[in-house]
Amino acid sequence: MLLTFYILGTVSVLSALGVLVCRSPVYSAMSLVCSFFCLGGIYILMNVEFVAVIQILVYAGAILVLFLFVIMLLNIVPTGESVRFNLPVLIAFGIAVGLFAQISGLFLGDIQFGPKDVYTAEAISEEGSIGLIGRLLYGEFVLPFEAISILLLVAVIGAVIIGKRRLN
Amino acid sequence: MDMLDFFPSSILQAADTSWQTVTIAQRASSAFRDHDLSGTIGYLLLGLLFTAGLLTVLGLVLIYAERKLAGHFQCRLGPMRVGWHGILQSAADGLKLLLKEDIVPENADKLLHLGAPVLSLMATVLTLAILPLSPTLQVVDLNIGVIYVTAVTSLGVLAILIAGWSSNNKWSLLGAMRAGAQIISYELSATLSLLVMVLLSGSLQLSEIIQSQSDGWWIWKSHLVGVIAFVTFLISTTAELNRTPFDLPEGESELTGGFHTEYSGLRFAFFFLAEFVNMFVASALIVTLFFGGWMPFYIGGWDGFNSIMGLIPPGIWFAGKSAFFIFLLMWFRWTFPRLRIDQLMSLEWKILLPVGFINIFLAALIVLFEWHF
Amino acid sequence: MTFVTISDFIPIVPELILVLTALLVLLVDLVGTQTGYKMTSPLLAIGGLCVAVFAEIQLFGGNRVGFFDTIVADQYSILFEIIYMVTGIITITISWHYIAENNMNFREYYVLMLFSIVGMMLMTSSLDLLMIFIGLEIMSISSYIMVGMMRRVVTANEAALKYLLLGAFSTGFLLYGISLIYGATGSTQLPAIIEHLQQAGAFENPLVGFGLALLIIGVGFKVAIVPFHMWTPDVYTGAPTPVAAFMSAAVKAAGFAILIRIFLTGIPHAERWDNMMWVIAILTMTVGNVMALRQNNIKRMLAYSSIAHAGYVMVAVVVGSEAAITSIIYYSFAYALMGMGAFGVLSIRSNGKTIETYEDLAGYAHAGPTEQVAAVLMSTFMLSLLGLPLTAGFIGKFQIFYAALDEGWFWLTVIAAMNSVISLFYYLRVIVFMYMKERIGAQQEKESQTSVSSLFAITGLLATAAGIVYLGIFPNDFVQLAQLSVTAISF
Repeated sequence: MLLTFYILGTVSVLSALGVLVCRSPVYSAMSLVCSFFCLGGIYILMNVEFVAVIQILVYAGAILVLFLFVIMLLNIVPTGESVRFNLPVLIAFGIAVGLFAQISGLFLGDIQFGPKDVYTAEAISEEGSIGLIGRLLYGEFVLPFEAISILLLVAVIGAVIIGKRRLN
Repeated sequence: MDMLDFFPSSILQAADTSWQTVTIAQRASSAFRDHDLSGTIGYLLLGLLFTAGLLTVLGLVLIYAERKLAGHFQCRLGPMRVGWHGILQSAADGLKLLLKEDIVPENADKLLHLGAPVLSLMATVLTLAILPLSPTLQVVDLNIGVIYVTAVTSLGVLAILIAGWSSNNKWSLLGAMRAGAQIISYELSATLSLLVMVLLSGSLQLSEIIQSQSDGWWIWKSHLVGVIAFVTFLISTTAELNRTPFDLPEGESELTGGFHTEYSGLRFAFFFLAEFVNMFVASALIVTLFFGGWMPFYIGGWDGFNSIMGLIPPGIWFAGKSAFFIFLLMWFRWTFPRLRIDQLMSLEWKILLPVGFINIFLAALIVLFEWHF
Repeated sequence: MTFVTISDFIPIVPELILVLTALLVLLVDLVGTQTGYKMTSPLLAIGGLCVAVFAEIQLFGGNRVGFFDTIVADQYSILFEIIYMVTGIITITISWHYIAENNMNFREYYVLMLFSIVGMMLMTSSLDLLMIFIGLEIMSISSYIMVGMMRRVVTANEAALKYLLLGAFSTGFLLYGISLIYGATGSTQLPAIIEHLQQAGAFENPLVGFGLALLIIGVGFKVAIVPFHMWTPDVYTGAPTPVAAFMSAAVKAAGFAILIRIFLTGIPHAERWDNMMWVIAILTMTVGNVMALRQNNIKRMLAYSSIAHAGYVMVAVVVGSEAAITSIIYYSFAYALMGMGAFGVLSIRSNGKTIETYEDLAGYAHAGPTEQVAAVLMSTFMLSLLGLPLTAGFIGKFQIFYAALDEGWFWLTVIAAMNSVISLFYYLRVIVFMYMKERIGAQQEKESQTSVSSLFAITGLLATAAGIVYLGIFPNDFVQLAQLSVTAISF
C-alpha cells in the first residue's frame, strides 16, 4: 500500500511539474490528466472509490476536455522561447522558493493532526463511500450542498453574460 | 391498486433460481487468500486473456456484421469472397491493416499522434473488464460500476481530441472538435438516464443492478420512467458513439474522415476497433440496466415456458440481447439521415436534457413512494 | 441519521426571501418586454431587500440556530446582514440611471447583486468554514461578473480579468488554509476549532499557524489590506461605478465580518500575531493615503482611500477588544454609507459627461440644479470620509482610536491620526474643485438636463447623506446595537 502511494504520489507531483514545464499547452493539459489519474489512485487507496471515479469523470472527462477545446480553438502554438529571467521573474522565483522551503520546513517539524473524525478508512469501507457521502450531503451538509446550486446558477448567468452575442 | 397487484404476479414472476455472482477477480483474491499462488496468477491471466479475447472476437464479428448488414440493407450481398459468405473478411482486413505502412504526417505531433489510438482503445478495454456477461463471466465487479463506466468512456473524448489536434490537419481538428462537443453534450443525458436506473435499483454495482431485476426487467417494472430513460439513453449513446444519425464528426462528405483522417495501418485499426467495441459496450449497458442483463426471459405463470427459458445459459441470454441492440444501432445507421449541427445541439440541450431532468425527478418520486413493482 | 426540520429554515428566512426575489427578477426579465429600461427589476429587488430587512428585524434578539448549529441568526450576523442589504438598496438606487446611460443592458445585474448579498449573508451567519467558503464564493463570483458587465469597455474587461484571476488565487489560499485547519483540529466548525485552539500548546502545531495565516491572506484579498491590495485601484476604476461602490462597502464589510468571526472570538490574544498585524495596519493606512494623494482620477483616489479606511479598521482588528469590535461594526456601516455616497455621486453624469478626473469636477457646483444638490452631497461624503465632527466618519474614527488608546496602542493611534491628516488634502481637493474652480470650456455646454433616473439616484444619495449625519449626531442607538451584537459573539 505504502509503496503504491509513493509511486502514485511521485508520478502525480512529476506530472504536475510537467504542467508547468511543458511548452506546449496540449502537453500541459495531458500532464494534468496524468496527475488527476494518480490522485484518483490515491483516493482508491483511501477506500473512497466514489471520489476517485468522480475525480476522473469530472476533471479528466469534462474539465480537461474543455481545456483542450479552448486550447485547440484558440490554436495556441508554443512560442518556442523559454522563460526570460529578468529581474521581476527572479524576485518572484526567489520568493516562491523561500516560501516553498518555509512550508516544507513546517511539514518536517512536529505536526500534530487533530482528532480523527468518525470517518476513518475502516468506517468508510464498512459503509461504502457512496452511502456515507450521500448521507452527509443530505444530512449534515445539506445547506452548503444546496447553496452550491446558487453558486452554479450565478456562474451560469455569468457565462451567459460574457458569451451573449447580441448586446442589446 | 388492483392493476399494481395484477401486473407483477401475472407477467413478471420471480426467477426460481437466484444467481450468485462470482467474478474472476474474486476467484483470484480468494485463491490469494488460500496462498494458492498458481491459482492467483492463473485467474489473473484468465482475466487478461478473457478481456483480450473478447476484444478480438468482438472486433472481428462486429465489423463483419456491419458490412454484411450494410450490404443487405442496400440490396447488395456485402463481402462474399473470403471464406463462406465472406466470413473471414474481417480477419483478412485485420491482417491487411497490420501489414500496412504506418504513416505519420510530417508536421504531426509525433508523441500524441501515436499515443491517441492507444488511449482510445484503453478506454474501451477498461470498460470491458467490468461488464457482467454472465454470473461467472465478469472480470471485476466494482461497487461503483455505473459511474466507472461513465468515467472511463469519457476518456475516449480525450483520445479523439488529441488525435484530431496532433494530426495537424484541418479536417481532423474539425472532426475532433465536433466529436468532443457532441460527446460532452450527450454524456449529460446518458448519465441522467443511468442515474434513473441507479435510483430504481438502489445500487451502482452492475451485478446488483441485474440482481434487482430478478423479478422482472426494469423496462417493465418502472412504469414510464424506465422507458423514457431507455429511449434517452439509446439516443444519447448513439450520439456518443458518433454513429448515424449523429455522425457529423466523421461526415465523409465534409470532413473526409474526421479525426482519424491522418491515421493508417494499425493505429487506424485501433480507432476502428475501439469504435466497434464501444458499440458493444453501449448495447451491453442497455441490456444490463434495462433488460435484465443475463436474466432469462420469464413470463409469470407459464411454468413450462419458463423452465425452457431457464435452460439457456445466462451468457447466451446476454449475448443475444446485446446482439439485438447492436443490430438496432446498425439499423439506425442505414435508416436515418444525418442531423445538422444545430439540430444536434438543440435536440440535446432543449429536448433530451429537460426530459432527463423531469424523468429523474419522477424516478425519485417513484422510488420514494415505492410505486414501482 | 439526523434530518433537517422546518425550524432549521427560520434563521435563513431573509436569505430565502432574497433568493426567491432574485429568481423572480430573473423570470420577470425573461417574460417581460425586451425594450426600454423598465423599473420592474430594480423595484422588485428593492422590495425584496426591504422585506428581508423586515424579516431580519423580526429575527433580532431571537438567537436562533439551525442546520445542526452551523447557522446562527445572532445579533452580530443580523446587524451585518442589515448593513449589506442597506448597501444593496443604495446601490440599486444609484445603478438604474447608470445602467441606462452606459448601455449596460443586463437586467441580470440586479439578480447578481441579490445573490451576492445572499452569499455575504450565508457567510456571516455561518459557523462552518465550509459554508463560509461557499458564501464567499457566491459573493465573489457575482462581483466578478458585475465588474465585467460593460463588455465593450476595455478598462472594464481588464478590471474583470484582474479581479477574477487574483480572486481565484486568493480563494486557493483560503481553501488551503481551511483544509490545514481541518487537519489540525479535526473540524470545520468554528466553535469546535476555537475550543481546540484554546487548549494549551495548540499553537505549537505548525499546521494551525500556517492555516490561520492562509485564511487571513484569503480574506485579506477580499478586504484589500496592504500586501494584497494591488487589484483594488484597477478594479474599482474599471468597474461600473455603482459596482465599485457596492464592492468597497458591502464586500469589505463582509470580509471584516468573517475576519472577526474567525479571528477575534476566542483565539487567545497572545496568538494573534500582533506584531505582524500592526505592521499590516500601518502599511494599509499609509499606502492607501499616500497613493490616494497622488491620483488624478477620482475613482482611483476613492479606491486608495478605501484601502486606507480598511487600514483604520485593521487597527481595531489589532486591538481586538470588545470596544474595538463594536467600532469595527460601526465603522463598516459608516464607511458603507459614505463610500457608497461618494461613488454614487460620481456615477451621475454632468452634462452628458462622466466625471473621471479632478478637472472634470471644476465648476461642478454651479453647473445646474442636479449638480448643485450633488455637490452638497459630495461635500458631505468627503467631510465624513475625512472624519469631521457631526458626521459618521468622525464617530467611527473616534471609537477606533479610543479603543486603541484604551488598550495601550498609543503609537498606532498616533500613526492613524497622522494618516487622517494626510487624507485631508485629497478629500478637500474634491470640494475645492467643485466649488472654487472655473469650468473649462463652459460656453459649449448644452442646457443641463435632469432625468428622472438620476433623480432616483439623488433621492438615494440624500437618504445616505441623512444617514451619515444622523449617525454622526446620534450615534448612540447604533452603537448600542453594535455592543449587543458583540456580546452575542464573545465566547
